[in-house]
Amino acid sequence: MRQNIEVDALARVEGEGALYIRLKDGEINDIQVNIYEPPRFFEGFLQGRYYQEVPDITARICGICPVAYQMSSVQALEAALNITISPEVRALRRLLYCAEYIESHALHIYMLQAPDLLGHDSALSLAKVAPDVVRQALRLKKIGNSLLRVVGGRSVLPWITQTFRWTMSLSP
Amino acid sequence: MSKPKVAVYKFSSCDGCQLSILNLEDELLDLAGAVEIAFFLEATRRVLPGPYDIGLVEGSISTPHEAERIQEIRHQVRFLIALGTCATSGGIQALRNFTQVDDLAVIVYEHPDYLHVLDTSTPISQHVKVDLELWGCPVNKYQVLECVAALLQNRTPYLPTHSVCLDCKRRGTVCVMVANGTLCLGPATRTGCGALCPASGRGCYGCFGPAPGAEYATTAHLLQSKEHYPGEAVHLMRNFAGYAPQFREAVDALVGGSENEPAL
Repeated sequence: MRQNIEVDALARVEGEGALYIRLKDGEINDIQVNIYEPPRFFEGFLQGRYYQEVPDITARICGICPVAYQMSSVQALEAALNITISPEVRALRRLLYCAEYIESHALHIYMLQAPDLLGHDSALSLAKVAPDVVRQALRLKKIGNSLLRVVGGRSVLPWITQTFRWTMSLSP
Repeated sequence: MSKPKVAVYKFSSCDGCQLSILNLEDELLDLAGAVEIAFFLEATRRVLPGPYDIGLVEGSISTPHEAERIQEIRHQVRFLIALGTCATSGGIQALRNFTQVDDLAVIVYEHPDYLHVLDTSTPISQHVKVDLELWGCPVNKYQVLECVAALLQNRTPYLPTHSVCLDCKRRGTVCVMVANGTLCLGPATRTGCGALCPASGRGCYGCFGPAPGAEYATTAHLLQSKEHYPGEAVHLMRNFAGYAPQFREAVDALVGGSENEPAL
């Protein structure tokens, strides 16, 4: 017996992908994961840009976890320029990152993952049978977003404050 | 009367604008009650058959497959909203339009021959008719809500188009360019963010795109006169909305074929 499982577009994932499973005699014969998220060439067009622009640009790699990309690029630049940051700035960055953890994990667990585990299409259909749980999830997500806003200005693609800017004396 | 069907699509983008919809924590369940979410892969695997009343399209067109898919979507959607600066201008990935995409591909990929990409990243309006453009990188979630609410109430959405400068005046933010000499794209940039950057002491970097009717060339020349390094003004305009015609023309006027143009 030969059977195929074809999912042309995976739902509730961060990004885009397709999954093809080919079964033969009840066993998995072949699996293909196709990540068709288009290439955007960040590493290419970053070349030639001024260093202070980099964290703003890398944030746009992913709108769901922008802080991770801001943080990685800022640390790379600081390593390259031999910059040591103060404990206060480090603490603020940690707070910003934790805010993203809270928002992003709440999104992932409740809105992306849980519907699969509980046999639902979405958190919206889940809300029809368990409204309190979904409302609690949204509250948790909102706490993360509020914290992101306090430290980073806005919840999606937080703009760079003193958390990421270096002293002006570094400017040419 | 059945509820209007809403579809949400993703093209070349970061997911941030779709996330802005999911970030409507206080309004999401009411919104889902007022409309039928018929297609929104980021949120649900349930797909209802088209046609759809409202289509929200995130992202730019940067692959041959996307160029085909947007045509199919246009046939399915009655009112198409381009959601965010990628969809309205080509986005940050449109920086490729100022160089050769093959040159960028070899920097990033060991086997660029596997890629199927277009030479340019372009706005949705360059491919199909767009009924409404909603700018922002990311969009303001309340503007998304306002658009959907207005469509449900059969009225024109209230979307202000003044520049960021006016927001600074309203907030009482001291002008970063006048007071500190910080380059700021606020005079030429569309409102929507609430003038976040100047309020924190940094210059606007134009993520809501060009404000209609602004003085783009004048702003570009003003910025250039205050540069801290050569090419700073060009960098500022050739950024998240850099492929928007207004910013593009202002940069062209600025560099005027000079030898000093930065790489991008």
